[in-house]
Amino acid sequence: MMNLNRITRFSIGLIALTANVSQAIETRFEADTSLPMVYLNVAVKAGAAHDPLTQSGIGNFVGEMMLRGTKNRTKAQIDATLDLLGATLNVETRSEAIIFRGRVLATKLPQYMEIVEDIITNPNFPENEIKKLKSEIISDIVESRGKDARLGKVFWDEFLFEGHPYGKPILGKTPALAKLKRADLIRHYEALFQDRNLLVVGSGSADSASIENWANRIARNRPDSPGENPIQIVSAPVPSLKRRVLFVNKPERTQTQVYFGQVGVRLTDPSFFPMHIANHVFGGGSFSARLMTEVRVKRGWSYGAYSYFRHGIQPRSWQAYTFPATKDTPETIKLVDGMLQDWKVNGLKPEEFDFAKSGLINSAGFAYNTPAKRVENILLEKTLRLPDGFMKTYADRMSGVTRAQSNAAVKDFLDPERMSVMVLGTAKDLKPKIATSLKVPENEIRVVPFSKE
Amino acid sequence: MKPINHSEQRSISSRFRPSVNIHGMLATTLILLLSACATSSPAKKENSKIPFFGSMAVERFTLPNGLKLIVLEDASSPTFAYQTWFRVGSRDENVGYTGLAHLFEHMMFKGTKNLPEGQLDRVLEQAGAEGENAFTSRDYTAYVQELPKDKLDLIVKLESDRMVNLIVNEKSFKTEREVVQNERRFRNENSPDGLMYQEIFGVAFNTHSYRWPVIGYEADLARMSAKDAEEFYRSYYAPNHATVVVVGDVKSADVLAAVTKAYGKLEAKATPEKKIPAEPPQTAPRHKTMKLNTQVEKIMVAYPVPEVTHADIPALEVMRTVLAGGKSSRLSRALVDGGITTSIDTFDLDDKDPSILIFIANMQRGKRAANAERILLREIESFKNTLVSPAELERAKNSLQAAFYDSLSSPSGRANFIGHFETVATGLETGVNLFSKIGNVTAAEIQTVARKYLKPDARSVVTGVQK
Repeated sequence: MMNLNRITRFSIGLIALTANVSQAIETRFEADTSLPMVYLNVAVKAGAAHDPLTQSGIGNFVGEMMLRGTKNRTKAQIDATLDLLGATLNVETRSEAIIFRGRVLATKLPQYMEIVEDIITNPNFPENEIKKLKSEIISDIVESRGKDARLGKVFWDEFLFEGHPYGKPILGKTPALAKLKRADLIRHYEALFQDRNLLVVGSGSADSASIENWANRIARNRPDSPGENPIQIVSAPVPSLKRRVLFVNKPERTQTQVYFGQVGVRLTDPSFFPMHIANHVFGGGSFSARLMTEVRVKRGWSYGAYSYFRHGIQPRSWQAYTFPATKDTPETIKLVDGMLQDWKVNGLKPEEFDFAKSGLINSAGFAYNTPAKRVENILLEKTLRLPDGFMKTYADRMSGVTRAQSNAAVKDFLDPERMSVMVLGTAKDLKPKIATSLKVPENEIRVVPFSKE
Repeated sequence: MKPINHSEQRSISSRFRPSVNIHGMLATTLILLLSACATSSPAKKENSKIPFFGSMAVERFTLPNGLKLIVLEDASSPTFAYQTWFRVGSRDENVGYTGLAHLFEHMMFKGTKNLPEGQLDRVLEQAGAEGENAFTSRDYTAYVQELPKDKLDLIVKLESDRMVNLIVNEKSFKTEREVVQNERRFRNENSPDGLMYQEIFGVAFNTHSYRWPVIGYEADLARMSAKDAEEFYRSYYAPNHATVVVVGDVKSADVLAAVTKAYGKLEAKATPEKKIPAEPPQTAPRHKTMKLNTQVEKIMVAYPVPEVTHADIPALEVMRTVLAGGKSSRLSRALVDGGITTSIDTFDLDDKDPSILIFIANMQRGKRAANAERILLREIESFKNTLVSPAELERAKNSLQAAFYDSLSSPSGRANFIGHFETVATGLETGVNLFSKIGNVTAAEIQTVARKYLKPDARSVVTGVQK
């Protein structure tokens, strides 16, 4: 047995991060001259969760349409200009944010800022492009039905959140997308793209003053509308009152997608860090975690088995996920269900807790050791309304947590009896066996076809 | 819409993704000579630092036992990336034993003579390691992680240990084989894209070992034993078949001292003699239609292209980008803006041996892959007959330049770049030169390579349609 090296935490030295929160648009930029590149993101603090009920997918659709024409440029001109600059600009829609992710050669930054400013402030939503984009996104949704992991995630979110905005699919649903009109897009754009909802975050080989001046120019074009912000924080999801089981039926599967989960915990909740350590013991990404050890390492039943929190402004989700062979799925589900019960009742062993805590603390610096990661952290902090610098405090926040606190958090938080369970696979092969594994009547397992929206 | 990311299909890993590569038999004779003087001489250092990008420069050392060590000092964060690249991949497998390189990669996380099974992950986790992983491709197998700066000695000790002291037992082999079968179900069996990607290599290659998938065939995996894995290990895992790449907050002298101490005593090994037959020229188009669990049609069109070190690669990379490298590219305008497909993608041209350039597209709902193929062929023929415009040329070069820099934006990204070119080419200089040569490619050179390689009779086409 090798000796372990002394365990130490590492810290990051001085970082030239400029923050200007006095501007109309909050701006953060970290100068980094190691490569002649600039990474620049413009984020809106609203996403798919803010899509109106009858307009599923409109937030993402508006973002994509903004890249397809302004009052000054056609889509072809935008595409050609961005490519000429060696730039990329993509839309990433999350539940509570839409992010325009950009990258450009540093020498081309002025031209890049000019076109991005045009895209953010002057979109014109041309009818011919609306028609084309509908076809592309609807086709992409249909195509995704062939990708079990992606398909499973969409079904899982909708099932877990039972009508709550966190369950809304990012791309939307095809009937709602088909009905979107240009006027709907303009209305949604006007509501979202106001100074108070915008954020500029970036890093790279540029001076922060030029980025701040640029953000100010955007602000002059997108002032706040009078009155209340049309973008409101979504309400907290309500935990399920009983165990629910969904089977997404897809023919000829030799492998399944299996989820267990429940409503999660806010990052700022006092129980989060005790739970974070407890989750690391149970299934948190490590090969030493219980789920990975029992499902993959000991039995070879799945390529992976993990548990993790997904974060929102409100408590979002905690979930366990694995994808075993069809033949091993009933036993895998039985095993995971039993492990959840054991976790709640017996908590963590002292050596498990110590191991997880020290490993998490020792690796915490990797959450912010590159400019790109620091940019991601700021985006997360701002879009989830976290305190500034929150993501850098993980190590300190974990260092004071005790095993008793983690075990108490698990007992209080985890609710296996009311946990939602979803399986994507071939129902005729599995449904009765899964009912047995979960000890639920077979007729309480709801079965839906994989092509249902 | 975001471009589809097909990168995971190129290589596969034991942790969350699979992959392959190098030719490790570069000179059995040389290897034997080196083993004779192992540990008795100091490491050979190249005369001066090798320019990398910007102000960065690397140092390259070769230990007497043949181990190559590349160090890039970069103190931007108190961490370092440590990667070990072995010159072995699925190309080195034999018929009937496909997938062995990747399956064996999984076994490298098991126990050694000095470290019981399960302890490697625990030790690294306690040390604060990030991104502990491995990947296998057609040409290489790489083991990667990042660590806090004070963990250099630890990782050197762990990696040198598993290079030669691994224990391959039957029980853990059987379990890991089942894990890989599940990985294969995930990547291929239940994935229309995975099945088509496997098939396009099967259609385009008849003789070269690139024709089989990195993850291997189900039946081949089922017949493998721990003994096969043990033999594979003894044949290919040795210092003279490996390159260690260290990028981060380290001093090259410290790294050299630690690596020499831990690896210097390991003996070089001769690699099994293996001749990989060259693929004969393709003289007629090949088509295959697959009935898949998909609700939109899909297409992959492949053309033979040369190895990564070939002089035509810079022009081919620019050609590939003009054709399909951005939203303003020829094929994106014709196929995506034309309402036929939702995407058009290609891969980098970076294989060790002559390989294929693949165009990949998913149809829009109700559109036919056959129509996309007709349009693609029409655009390519037109492309061959007229020079690309100066604007197209500049767009492609700028896009490639930005993508290059982007790939180097983290210590692990820099290590990946170095490890890849050290392993599949003659050295990282190949990658650096490729980057600089791209800036000098002319429109005439693009036309020349388009005419030389994009021949209609040399194409292979795999179409995926709904069952």
